[in-house]
Amino acid sequence: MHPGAVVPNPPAIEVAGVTVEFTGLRALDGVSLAVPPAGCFGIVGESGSGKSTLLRPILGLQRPTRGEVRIEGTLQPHRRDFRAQARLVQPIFQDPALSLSPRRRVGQSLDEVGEALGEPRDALRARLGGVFERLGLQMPVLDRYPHQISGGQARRVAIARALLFQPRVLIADEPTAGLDVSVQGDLLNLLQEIRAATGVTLLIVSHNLAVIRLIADRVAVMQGGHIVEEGDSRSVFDAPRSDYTRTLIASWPRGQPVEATG
Amino acid sequence: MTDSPPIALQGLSVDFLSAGEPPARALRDVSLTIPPRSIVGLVGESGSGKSTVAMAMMGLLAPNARVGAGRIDVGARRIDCTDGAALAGLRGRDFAMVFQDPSASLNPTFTIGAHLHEVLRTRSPGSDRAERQERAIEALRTVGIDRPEARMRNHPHELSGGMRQRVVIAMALLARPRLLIADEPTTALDVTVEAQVMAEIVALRDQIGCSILLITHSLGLVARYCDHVSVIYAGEVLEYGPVAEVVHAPAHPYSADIFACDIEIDAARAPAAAEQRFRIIPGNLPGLRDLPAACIYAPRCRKAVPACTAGHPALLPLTDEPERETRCILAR
Amino acid sequence: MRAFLGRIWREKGGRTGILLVALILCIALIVPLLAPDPNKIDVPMRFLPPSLLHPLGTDNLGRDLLARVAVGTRSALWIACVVIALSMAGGLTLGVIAALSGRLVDRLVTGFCDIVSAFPSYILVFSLVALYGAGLGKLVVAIALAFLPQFARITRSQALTLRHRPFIESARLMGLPATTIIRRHVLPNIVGPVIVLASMNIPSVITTEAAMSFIGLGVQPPQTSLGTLIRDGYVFLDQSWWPIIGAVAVLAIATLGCTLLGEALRDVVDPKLRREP
Repeated sequence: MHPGAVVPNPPAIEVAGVTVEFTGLRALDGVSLAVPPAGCFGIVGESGSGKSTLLRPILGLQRPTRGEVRIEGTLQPHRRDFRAQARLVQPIFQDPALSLSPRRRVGQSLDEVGEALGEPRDALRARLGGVFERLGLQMPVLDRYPHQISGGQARRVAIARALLFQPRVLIADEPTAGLDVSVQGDLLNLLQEIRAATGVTLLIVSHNLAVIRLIADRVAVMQGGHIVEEGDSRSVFDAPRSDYTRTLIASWPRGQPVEATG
Repeated sequence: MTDSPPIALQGLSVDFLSAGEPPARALRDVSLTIPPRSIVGLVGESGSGKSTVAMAMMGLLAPNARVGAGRIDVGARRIDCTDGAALAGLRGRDFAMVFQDPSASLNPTFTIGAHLHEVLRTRSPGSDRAERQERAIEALRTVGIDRPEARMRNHPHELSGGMRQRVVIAMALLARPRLLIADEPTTALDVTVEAQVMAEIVALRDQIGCSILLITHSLGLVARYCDHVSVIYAGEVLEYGPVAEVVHAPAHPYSADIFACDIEIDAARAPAAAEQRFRIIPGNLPGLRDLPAACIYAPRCRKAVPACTAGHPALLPLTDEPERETRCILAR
Repeated sequence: MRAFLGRIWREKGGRTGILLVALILCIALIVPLLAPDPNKIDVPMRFLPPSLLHPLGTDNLGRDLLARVAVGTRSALWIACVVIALSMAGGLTLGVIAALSGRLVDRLVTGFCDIVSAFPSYILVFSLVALYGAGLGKLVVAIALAFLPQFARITRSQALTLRHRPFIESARLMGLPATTIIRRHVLPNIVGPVIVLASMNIPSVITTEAAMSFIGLGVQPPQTSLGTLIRDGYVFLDQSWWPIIGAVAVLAIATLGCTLLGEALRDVVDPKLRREP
C-alpha cells in the first residue's frame, strides 16, 4: 500500500491473487486489485498484458485457476446463479452492437431482460422508456433489427440493456476502440453521465492511455499478466514509478515533430 | 534540397458502383502534392476515402470501383489513373505500399527470405542468388530485426505483428521506391511497437530518399511524424499545408473540430475525473450517392453561413500563406 | 424464400439441380397417381419393351415398370428424408452437448464420433444389420448412425465458435438458462451449415439405402425401393434389360440432381461468397 491511497469502504471489486492459465499459457499471474466503489477504474496495457483476460473472472465467465474475485463481497462466479450475478455486474463489450443477437429485433433482445429478471413485460417497458430517454434513443428502434440501425444507436441499445439490470458494476472492454475521433467523445460522455446518475462503479479496460488518463480516478498498468503499477490516475501518469509505464507513456504519439536524421 | 520534382496526384475521382443504385462518389477531385524526401500525412476518419486514395494510386481498387479521372505525375512521367496497366508499372517499382495488416503483403506459405528475394529479383533482374541473400539479410538488419539470417527461414505466422510490419518495410527498402504509401501501418500494433515501426518508416526515408504518404486516422501520428498534412472528409480534401501550421492554426472548421475532439496524452484535465467531458462533432457523414452542390461539411459546421450552401467551394490557397490550401470560403 | 430460390437458380449447377430434383419429385409423387397398379401381375405380358401402355416396359411378372419405379423412388426419397432427419437430430443434440459442456463430455462425444466415422459407412451399416437383422426400421437407424458424426462435428464446431461471441456471452451474463440460450440464440445461427450438410448428404444416403436393398438387407418385398428394383432387374438381365434401366436412370438422376442442388445451396449459404461492399 502506498501513502495517501485509502480504500474507504469495501471495494466494489476485489481481485485476490488471481491466476488464469490456459493450456500452456499463463495469461494472468497472481493479480491482485481493489476497485473502490462508485469511481472509474482504468486498466491499461498492451496486447498480451492480460487486461482483457482479467475481465473474464471478474464477469464470472471464467473460474480462475488460483485466487478469487469478489464483487461487493460476493464470490464470483455464481456458477449456478447467473441471475443474481446479472444484477451485480454487466459488461459493455467492445463494439457493443455485437452483443445483440443479429436475428432478433431490438425489442425482443431487450424483453429478454425482463425474462431474466422475472419482471413482467409492461413493467420492463416502462423502465425502458426512462433508460431510452436518458440515452437519447427513440422507441421505434425497438422494431428494428440490429443491422438496420446505425452503429451509434446499436451501441446505445446494448448499453441500455446493461443498464436495465441496474448493476452495481459496469465493465467496459475497449469502449473506444475503432471509434472515430469525432464520435468517441459521445460514448465517453455517456459513461460519465451514467456514472453521475447511478453511482455505478465503472471498470474500463483500454489500450488508449490518453482517454484513461482523463476519465479514470485510479489506474492499473498491466504487462505480461502482472500489474506493474497501480495508483490514482494523476500520480501514475504524471509521475510513473515503473519503467514500463514510462515507456508506454513516452511512446504515445503526441505533437512533437520527429527530426530528420539524414 | 533536391532536384527531383514532387510526386503529384491530380484530380482523382472514384465512384463505387452497386446494382440498382446511383454510384457512391467516394472520391471527388482529390489532389495531393508529395515533395521529395518528405512525409505527407493524409488524415481522415472512417468514410473519408483515405484508403481508397492509396488503392487507386496502386491500382488495387475493388472490381466495382470506377476511376472517373485522375493523373499521377512521377518524375518526368504522367500516368493516367484510369489506365490500369500503367499503374501496374508503378506498383512495386516507383510505389511501394505498407498495409495495416501485413498479411496483405505476406504470403503465409512463403518464407521471409522468399519474399525478399522476390522483391530483389523484380528490382534487379540480373542479380545472383548470393548477392540477393546478402542484401536481404542486410535489409532485415536495417529495420531492426535481430538474427536476420535465421528469420529468413521463418514463415510470417512465426513472427509477431510488429516484426511482420518490419519485414514489409524491409521489402519496401529493397524495392527502393520513390514513394512509400503506408496505409494505417501501425493501427493494429501496440503503442510501443508503433513507435518503433514509425521510426523504421522514417529511417527509410533517410536511407533511400523516398517520400512517404502516411494514411492514418491518428492525429497524434500526423503531428509527430509528418511534414505536410492533407485533411480529407467524405471524399474531398478540405485542407492542406505544413503540419505545424495546420495543427496550430487550422484553416478549415473540420480540421479545427477534429483537433479539438482528439484526446491527447497531455491534454488539460478537469479537477475530478468524473467531471471530465469530451468534445464531439454532432451530425453524421453525408451519403455519397446524393451530394448537393455545396460545402460538404456545411451541415455539421458551427461556422456555416448561407454562402456555404450556395455552391461547391474549390480548394484554394490562403491569401497570406500560399503554401496552404483550404476549401473553406471563410478561412481564406 | 423466393429470393433464396432465385439465387440458387442463378448459381451454376443450381438450375440443373432444381430441374432434376423437380423431375424426381414428379416421378415420385405425381406418376403413381396416373400410372397403373405397380403390383398388378400379368405374366403373359412380361419383359415388354416400352409402349404407350407401359412407357418403361414391364418386368418379369408383367408389372408396369414406370409405376414400380415411381413407387420405388417415393420409397427411396422418403427413407432418405427420415434418415437425414434422424441423423441431423442426433448430430445436433450431441454436437451442442459436446460444445457447451465440460471437457470430459466433449471428449466422450468426439471419441464416439471418431469411432463411428472410422468405419466406412457401408461396412458399418452392413455390420449393424448383420448383428441386429435386416428390415427397414433397423436399416434406417443404421444409416442414420453412419452419418451422425458429420452432423455432430459441424454442430460442435459452429457452437464452439458461437460460444464466445459477444451476444452469446451477454445472454449468459443476463442469467438466462442454458436451454433458452441454446434454443433461441445458438441453434438458429448454426442451422445454415447443418442444412447444407444435410442436402449434400442426401445423395449418399439414397445410394447407401439402394445398395443395402440391392443385397437384400434393406427394404423387404412386397415393398419396393430403387435398390430392390435394380436387383430384380439385375437377376433377369439376360432376358431383358428394360427392368433395370428405369431404376438405374432414376437413381442416377436423383443422385446427380441432389448433389448439384446441395452444392448450389452451399455456395449460396456460404457467407464467404457473398459480396458485401
